[in-house]
Amino acid sequence: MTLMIFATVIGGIFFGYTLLPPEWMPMMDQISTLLLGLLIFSVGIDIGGNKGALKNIKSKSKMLGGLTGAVIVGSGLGGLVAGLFFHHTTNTSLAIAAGYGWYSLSGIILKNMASAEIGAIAFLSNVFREMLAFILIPVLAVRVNHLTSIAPPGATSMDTTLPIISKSTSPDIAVVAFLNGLILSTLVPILVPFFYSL
Amino acid sequence: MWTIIVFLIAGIIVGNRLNLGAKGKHINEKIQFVGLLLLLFSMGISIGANEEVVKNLNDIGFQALIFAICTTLGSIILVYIVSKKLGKEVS
Repeated sequence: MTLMIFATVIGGIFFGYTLLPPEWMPMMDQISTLLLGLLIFSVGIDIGGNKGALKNIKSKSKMLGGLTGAVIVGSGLGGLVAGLFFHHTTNTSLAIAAGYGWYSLSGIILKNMASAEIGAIAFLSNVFREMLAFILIPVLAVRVNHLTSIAPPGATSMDTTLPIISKSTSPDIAVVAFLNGLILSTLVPILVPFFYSL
Repeated sequence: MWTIIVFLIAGIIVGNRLNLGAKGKHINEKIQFVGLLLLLFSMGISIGANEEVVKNLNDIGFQALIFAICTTLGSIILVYIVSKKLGKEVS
C-alpha cells in the first residue's frame, strides 16, 4: 500500500513537472476537487454503514482531545527543533509548524506577515508534511497503532488524507480523524498569526 | 472546507439508509482504492506542475524538508504517548 502510494505520487509529480501542458493546470485542480469529493462521499458511506462509528461519543471525545492536543504540541516542539538548525526565531519556527499540512493557507499568511522566504518555507514544508503523511499513515496504522497513524497528517486528516486513514484503520478512527482535521483546519488561520506575533 | 463536510454528511446519510451488504461494501472499497490512486496521482501532478514548489526547491527545499520531518516526528511521538495513556481502545 505504502509503496503504491509513494509510486503514484512520485509518478504524478514527474508527469506534472515534465509532460503536463501548463494550460491544463486549472482543469487538474478541478479534477482533484471532484475526485476528493467523491472519495469523501465514499468514506461517508463506510462511516454511515458502520453502526458503531457514530456512537461511543465519550471515548471518542477523549481520543480526539488527546490526539489534537498532542499534534499541536508535537508540531510546535518539532518546529522549534527544526528552527534551531537554521537559526530561526522561536515565533517564526512555531508559526511555520502551525500550518499542520495546510500549505496554501499557512504559506500565504506568512508571506504577508513575515517575508517571501518564510512564506515559501511554510508552504513547502507543509507540502512535504502532507506527502510524508501519505506514506506514513499505512505504516503507522499497522506497525504502531491506529491513533498514532493520524499524527502525521494534521489538518489534512479531514480531506486529502482521510481516504487513506479510512482504508488503513476503521470507521471509528476515521470519524476521530475527520474531527481532528476539522479542528486543526479551523485553528490554522488563528494560530499561525498568533505564534508569529509572539 | 464546506464542500468536504457536505460530501461527508451526504455519504453518511446514504450509507446509513442504504444498509449495504458485504458485496456493496466490497464494491465501495474498490471504488475508494481506485479513486484514491487517481487523487494521489492528480495531487502529484499539481505539485510537480506548481512553479512555486519547483522554483523554491533549490533554495529552501532542504530547510522545508527538515521542518516537515521534525513537526511530523514530534506529532507522532506525542500522539503515541497519548495513545498508550488511553489504552486499548485506540487500536
